[in-house]
Amino acid sequence: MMREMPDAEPIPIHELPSDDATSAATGHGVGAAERAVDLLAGIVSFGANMVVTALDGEDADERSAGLASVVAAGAGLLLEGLRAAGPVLGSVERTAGPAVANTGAAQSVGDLMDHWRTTWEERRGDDDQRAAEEDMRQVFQRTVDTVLDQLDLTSLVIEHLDIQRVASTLDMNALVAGLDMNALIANLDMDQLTDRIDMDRLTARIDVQALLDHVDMPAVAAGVIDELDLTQVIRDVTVGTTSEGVRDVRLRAVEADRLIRRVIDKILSRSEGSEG
Amino acid sequence: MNTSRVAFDTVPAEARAFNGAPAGLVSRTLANIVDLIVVGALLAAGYLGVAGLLFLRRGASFSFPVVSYPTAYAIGFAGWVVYMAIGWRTNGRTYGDHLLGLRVRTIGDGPLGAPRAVIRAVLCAIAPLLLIWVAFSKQQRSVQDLLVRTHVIYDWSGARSDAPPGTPADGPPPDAPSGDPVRVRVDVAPSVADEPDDRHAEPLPRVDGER
Repeated sequence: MMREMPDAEPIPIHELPSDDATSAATGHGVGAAERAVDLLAGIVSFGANMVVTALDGEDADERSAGLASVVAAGAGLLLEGLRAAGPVLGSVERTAGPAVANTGAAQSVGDLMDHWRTTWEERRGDDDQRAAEEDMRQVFQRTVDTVLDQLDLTSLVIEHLDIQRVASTLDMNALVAGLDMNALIANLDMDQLTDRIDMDRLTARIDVQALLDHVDMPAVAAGVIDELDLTQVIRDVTVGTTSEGVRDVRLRAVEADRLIRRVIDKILSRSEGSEG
Repeated sequence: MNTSRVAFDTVPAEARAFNGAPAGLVSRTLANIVDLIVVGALLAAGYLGVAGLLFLRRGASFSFPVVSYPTAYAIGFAGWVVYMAIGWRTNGRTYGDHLLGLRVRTIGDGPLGAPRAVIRAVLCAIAPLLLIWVAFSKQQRSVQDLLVRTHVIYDWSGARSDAPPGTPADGPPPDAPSGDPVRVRVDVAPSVADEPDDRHAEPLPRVDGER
């Protein structure tokens, strides 16, 4: 016996929002989680490449090659895992996105990523600008050098510079005060300078008598006599004066002394004039 | 005015090379011989003086005094010691030293004191032949010099004994303190021994009427 089944009540199926709609709702083209995964995958790939390159260097031995293979395999596995996790995390983000978005966390992560990207681009822009400025500076320097090579600056200054006018503005006193006159004089050849002086003409112009008139000669003479012990001088000179014969005897005695000294030194094998 | 003193260096040019250096055996021996002659002359003069006094006193009965050898030796010894001690103490040189251009000084280049001069004179009188050690001593010092710490140097200057020793050839040391006297060298010409020789001089022109 068949009992007629009632018509099945259709299950109300709500239309799920599409990815575009979700993105539009969250305001992001690609989810933040997927971008973080991409970034992480990039870092892992870069690090793995560096390690493998270092291990496969010129001095790579068998052990390093094996280690490089292990690192490459591990990095490959990690990358595959990240690629697989990317969509999963994207789904989670899309599912939990609105709820999380309400808390503001996703917005913050997105903003942070955007800030990093903007900073990176600005920095790259600054580097490009500096390089351009350097190029421009070099071009300008070459241009100026070329222009100066074509100009005869000496003749240009001689023809167009009014030296007298420039000199009239100079403070010669300050200029001379800044000079090291001692060093300047040290470079002079005084002998050559004095050779050029006509001493006869110079002395002829000096009035010696007028000079002497200004000198108190008696006072000078008295001072000199005071300084000299004339009595002692006369006594010394008198006592020290000997006749030619006495001098001759003395000198011959000194020569004989030296001769004996040399002979004795030779006999005793002494160095001449040694003390002891 | 500059207050520095001026000292005159009267050492002749030919002696400046060795002035102040230790004197050798020949010079010192000659000086001793001269001193011996001088002392002998003094003793002889003394003897004649005594004889003269005796002559004045005794008149016709005068006869020259006879001196025994021991007495003569004792008087000669005493005269020799006194003569040298006085010379070394007062001027650093006896007459023989003066003639030979020598001077006795202490090792520290100072003048001799009375005790040192007397002891040195006694030692020289007792054993004059010890002077021969000068030839073998590196510092040209006799045994007497070694015992009393003296030395004999060439000193042709006329300075007194208490004056600084003879200036070496190169003058005072360059680092001498500024207070030292300024030394001025005087070239002393030898005294004129004879009158100028005019044997080869041109004859004076004849005066009219002169024969």
